[in-house]
Amino acid sequence: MNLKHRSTAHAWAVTTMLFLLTVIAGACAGVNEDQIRQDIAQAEAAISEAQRSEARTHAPLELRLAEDKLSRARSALDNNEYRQAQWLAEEALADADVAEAKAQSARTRGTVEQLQDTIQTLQSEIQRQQKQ
Amino acid sequence: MQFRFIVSIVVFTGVIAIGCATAPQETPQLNQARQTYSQARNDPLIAQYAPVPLHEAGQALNRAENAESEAERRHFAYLAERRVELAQSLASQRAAEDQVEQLRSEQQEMLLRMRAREAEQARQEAQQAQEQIRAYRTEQQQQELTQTQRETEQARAELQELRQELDQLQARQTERGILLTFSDVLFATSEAQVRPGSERTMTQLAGFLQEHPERQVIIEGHTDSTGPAEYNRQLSQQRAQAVADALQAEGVGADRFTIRGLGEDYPVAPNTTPAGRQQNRRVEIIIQNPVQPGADEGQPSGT
Repeated sequence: MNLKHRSTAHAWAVTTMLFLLTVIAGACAGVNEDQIRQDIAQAEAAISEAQRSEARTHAPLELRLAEDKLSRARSALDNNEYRQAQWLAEEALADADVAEAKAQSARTRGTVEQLQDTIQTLQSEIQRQQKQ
Repeated sequence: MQFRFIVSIVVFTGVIAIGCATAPQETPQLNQARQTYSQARNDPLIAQYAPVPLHEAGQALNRAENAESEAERRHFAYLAERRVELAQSLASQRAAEDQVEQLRSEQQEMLLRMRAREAEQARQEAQQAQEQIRAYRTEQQQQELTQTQRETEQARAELQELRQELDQLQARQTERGILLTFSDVLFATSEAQVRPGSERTMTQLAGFLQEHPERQVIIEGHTDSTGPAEYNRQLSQQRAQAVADALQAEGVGADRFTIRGLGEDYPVAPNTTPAGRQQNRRVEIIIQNPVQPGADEGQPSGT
């Protein structure tokens, strides 16, 4: 199966990598400021992607959560609250991913409904023809 | 001294142990995440379409189980839940994409069927139209044929009628028309009067001529070779006239007659025997065919 956008596939790959790194890295490891900035950038990118996919219409709650957490992550970083910043960035990313996926899913379901409608119309037409 | 050292080490280890890990406490978010994850693992759609996010959720759940603090636990539990949600969304998305593929080809197939059916219908209509034209033409031809047949039948019937009528008059068809031969027994010898016995014949003939006013009549008198030629000619003329008069008396118009006395010039039998001479003594009545443009009268019989 093919994903709609190459950039989405790419985004998924990067997201997965970073996510696993974060989780596997473990709580006892020291927090890296550069890594946090990367996480924030990643979350920002994911949010933009979701916005482009019309997540505002199909997953407004998740998108709002992501945007909210992103700005709080930035604030936390400014206040040197590294752990908070990292966690908020990670959660913003996770929220944005869900928003994006929900938006795409809603659009595809729309296509399905459209096609089902079209097929219904065609079927009626065929039946009408057969009666002649 | 040794005791204090041992205690320090124990305390130190303990501090480190306590510092790096706390016993996992039950937090509602973690329970929730465990449940959600467990359900997702049993979902065949997720297994087929979104195994990766599911795996990530598992990893996050592990981190949550091994978390050092409540906050950390809640954080990873949240991530786990979001990952499960992502898996569900992706699975739904990809299943829908498959459905789109399927529906598109179904749509395609239906369009093809419709086009094929429309083409077939058009072909049938064209064929029907052609057949109708053919049938119409055939019917037209049929009608014309019937008309011609009818006309032919009519002509034949008329001819038949004609023949039947003239059969009674002992007529025969020649190229000049219908030929009636009146033998000399109808005339008294050397006389030009028609005998009473022949009245019936005259009546019949007159009746026929009145029924067919479009036909002209030629009356030709003939004699045998006995006696002078000029005498014979006059006699033959008189006999022909007698027949014409008899017919006129029955109501046939005089303008229909052409009367000729041909004398002894057109014998139909040898004059050397009595029988032959008798045959030659005759009046011939020719009922002409209805006038055709450019037709001539033809030759008298006996030449």
